[in-house]
Amino acid sequence: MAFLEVRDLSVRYPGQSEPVISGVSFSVEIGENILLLGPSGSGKSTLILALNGIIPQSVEAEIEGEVLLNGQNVLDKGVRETSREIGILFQDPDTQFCMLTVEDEVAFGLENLRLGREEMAKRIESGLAAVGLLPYLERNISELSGGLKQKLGLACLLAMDQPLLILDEPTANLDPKGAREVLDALDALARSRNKTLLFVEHQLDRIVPLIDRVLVLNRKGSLVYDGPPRPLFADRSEELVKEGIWVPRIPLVARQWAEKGWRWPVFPLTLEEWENGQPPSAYSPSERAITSSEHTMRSVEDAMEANNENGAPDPILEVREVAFAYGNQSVLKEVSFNVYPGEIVALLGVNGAGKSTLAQILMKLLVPTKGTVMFAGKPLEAWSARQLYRSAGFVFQNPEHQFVADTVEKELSYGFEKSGMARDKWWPRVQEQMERFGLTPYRHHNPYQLSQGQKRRLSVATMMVHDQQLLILDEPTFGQDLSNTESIMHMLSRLSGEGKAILLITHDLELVYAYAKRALVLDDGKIVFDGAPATLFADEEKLDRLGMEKPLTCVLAERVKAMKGGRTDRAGIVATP
Amino acid sequence: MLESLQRHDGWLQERNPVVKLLVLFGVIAVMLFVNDPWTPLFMVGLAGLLLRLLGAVPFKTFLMYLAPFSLFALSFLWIHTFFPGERGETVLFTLGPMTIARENVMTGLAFGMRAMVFASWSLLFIMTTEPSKLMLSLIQHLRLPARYGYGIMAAYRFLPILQEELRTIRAAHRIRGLGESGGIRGKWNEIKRYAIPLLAGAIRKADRVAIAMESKGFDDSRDRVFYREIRFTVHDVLYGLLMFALLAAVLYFK
Amino acid sequence: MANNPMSGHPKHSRGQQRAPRIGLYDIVVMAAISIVFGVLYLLWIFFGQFVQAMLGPVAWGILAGMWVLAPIICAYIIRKPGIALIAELIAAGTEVLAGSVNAGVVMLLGLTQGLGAELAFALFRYRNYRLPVLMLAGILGMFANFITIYFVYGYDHLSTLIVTFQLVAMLISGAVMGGWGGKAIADALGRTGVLNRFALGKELREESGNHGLS
Repeated sequence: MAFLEVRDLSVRYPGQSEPVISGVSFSVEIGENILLLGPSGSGKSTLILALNGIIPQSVEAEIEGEVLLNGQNVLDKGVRETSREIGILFQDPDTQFCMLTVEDEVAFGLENLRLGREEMAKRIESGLAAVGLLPYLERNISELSGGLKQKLGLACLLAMDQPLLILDEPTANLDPKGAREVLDALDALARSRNKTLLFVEHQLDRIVPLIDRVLVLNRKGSLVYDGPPRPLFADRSEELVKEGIWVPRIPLVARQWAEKGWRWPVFPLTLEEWENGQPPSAYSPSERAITSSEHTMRSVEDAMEANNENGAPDPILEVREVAFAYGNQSVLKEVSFNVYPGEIVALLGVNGAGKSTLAQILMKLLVPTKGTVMFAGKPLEAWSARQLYRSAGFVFQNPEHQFVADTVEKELSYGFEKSGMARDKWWPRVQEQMERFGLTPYRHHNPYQLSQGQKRRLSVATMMVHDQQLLILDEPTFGQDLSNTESIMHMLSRLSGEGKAILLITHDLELVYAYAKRALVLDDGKIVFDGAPATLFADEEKLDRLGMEKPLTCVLAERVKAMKGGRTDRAGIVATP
Repeated sequence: MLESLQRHDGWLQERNPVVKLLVLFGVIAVMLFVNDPWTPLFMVGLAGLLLRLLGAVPFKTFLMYLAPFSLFALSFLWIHTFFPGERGETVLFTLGPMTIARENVMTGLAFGMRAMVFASWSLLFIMTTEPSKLMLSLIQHLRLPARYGYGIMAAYRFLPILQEELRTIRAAHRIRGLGESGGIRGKWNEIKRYAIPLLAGAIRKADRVAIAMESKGFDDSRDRVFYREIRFTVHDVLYGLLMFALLAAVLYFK
Repeated sequence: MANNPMSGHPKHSRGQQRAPRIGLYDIVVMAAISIVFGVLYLLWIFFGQFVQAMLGPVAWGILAGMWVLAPIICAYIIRKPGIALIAELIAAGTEVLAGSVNAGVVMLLGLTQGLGAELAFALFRYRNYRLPVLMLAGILGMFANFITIYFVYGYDHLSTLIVTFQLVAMLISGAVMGGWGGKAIADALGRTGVLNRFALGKELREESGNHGLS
């Protein structure tokens, strides 16, 4: 008898015509490490909550089929009993705790198990120790970083000691440092083989080596693959990409190099396995990036050349020796840089380096204590708010924060209607924007009811409605699935091609490597790097000091070069849409 | 600030939250029968003194917290002075057509001070009581169903997050060309505009946290074993008795 | 069943309406709504002080309807007996947790105001949540608030004219800001889809279903 058995499970939410997941069957044995993949909206979270019976017992839904835990239907066991066997680590570090301190939070789960007080104390200690959080015992949860919060979430589960742990995108809301901390903890847990683990995760390069089995859900919520990872990623990576599913980068790139004649003893999933590869005998070093049917590959050099053709126009944005302090706490010390029309510039830096303060200064929401910002040749002070926001746009991390109207169409008309312009002057513009951003079919929808990707497109569209020349975006791809990420970056590339300047605040170095012409690194209130991303990533010492990890695609490109030993072929091998 | 006070290892901080709560309600009830300004003055002083001696709260901190509220209290002084139900006889001076009577000023003072008593004893309560201890105590001693206590705590954790979100939303709306507006109508529209994204986010957060709590096996049954037991000691009885004796004396001698 | 309605009876929870018990999900949502208004009140209070300085105590009454907004919205969204009272108590409770300087009176007002608003829904046997009932809830909540502060802050010593003006201002504010305003906010919120599993969400869905919209 399997530990967990899902039989022909379908779930449909009230008011929806289609089921979120349909006819899903699989079973889980004790000790397996399983990866669940699927694009956003494929019902991964629904499936997880159906496993412990919260759907439909607490979250209303119609279900068919059944979930058996140790042979017993979870609906007969009830959520409280099931929670002794299944623990879930959720995505959002801010919404999975109900107590104020670390100690009380771990105790909360143990109280639910009705353990004795001494046993609780023992388990609190061992749970926290397992993730290295013991020194934080009496701290307030609100003081912890996102990464530590997720480790606390894990400690709570380890203390409860359920045999099956479900990890529902625990790194999706974290910055790279936090994600690394959590992945390290999960890595150790998976290697210990003490638990059955079900991962939902898109930081796959770290996870895949730990995985025994992969389950893949498609957009319609049907299970389309259940088997070991290697054949899946060796043979069907493109298919997954087409579904909008993140795939590990190494097999993806390896497939493209295999077409060029490279061979491996085992098809590589990890960097170690990659290194056993043999180049084809007729390999030519001048060979450029490869174009596969689904992926256009481009090198950083291409991008640089393309941009050089534009010559050097006047900067749209000039930041000169800007400093800022909250009270006597200095956030920015001396920041200077330019942004030119038609380029995508990435602004990098760890959390707390002052990126969002800088962004707010650029948008005239904060006034610098020293220095000046020139926009389109005029100092910011000389711009009225109204003029400025018609010439520069700022896209916030959460699109909903910018929504002010009931429908997509009204959202785009809003600024015009307020300005009192004649309707026939701007109405075509609204229609054109909806068409451009693929929003026309949703014109009467409430902005909140759109999908994540559509919301993002709408928030960019509202910021470009006056044909703004500069667009600043705060983490536009954060928490998005592959196809959303690709379509956002595609959209930004197109805008930059039209001559708009794009300043992108991001943590995602892979994106920077693939799309940015230039990277700015903010550290300790200063710009410590201003140049081509490839140059930044070549300087390992600097990366180390900044706590950044070289993008894997960049590593691969370098490995290829090293294996050839020949003249530099600095092909930045990057999958782009 | 508040939190470090609440977490201080003082005698008042040790007291059972339910006892402190009962004392607070006792004070409010008794003050309803007091109409002179002097008894309240004594009660405010007493709260400050207790906080200083038994809770290690400096007078300065106490007064700092009380200061903004005193504006509200002061408003009673002028309202009672200018709009009394019955104008007093001891005329202090005249202000145009209005005569200002001593009796009315004293009534104003009395009610202003009454408000200050409510605030100072509320402060005594909140400055020495950790939120989680209050909730646990209500569950353990007043049989508040656990789902209320833990549910409210879970949502209370959103407070700083939502404050941050409000700041972001205001900035985002400013960029969309929406300023802060004046007038009741303008202000109302502004609040409504901020309320929708805040509420939508808060409700999703609430759902997620409730799911997280249930997935950790939380339910409402009474057989819960508490890791932190909020104790009810002789000191608590003593504090309660002393305070209620004092309140009885206030009632008697007023 | 009253003690443990969530204990796996699939038949009970599939498709059928949940028992009108106020469960964990309702409580957390009510508390979250209260906290949102707690955060928004701060904007209101600064504005209120300005108005009060200009117009005096009656002006305070005009703005007072804000205080019954959260319980009316909760009752309108969740639609179970006791919601208005409990939401108001939770709102008061969250203010105490957040360290309100006037915690004692806030709790007292939470109780009386909540009872007032609850009375309106009880009068219609928890079957009617239309605008007039919501406005009545605002009026009764404000009336209860008025009675409370009448005794707590000695309004019997004040000029009847001023007190009457304040009462009228409060009642109007309760009806307009609390009842009408609460409905406006909750309806707009319903259209975002986050209320889909609540009574209000279901009602809105049925309405839009009838109009052939998705």
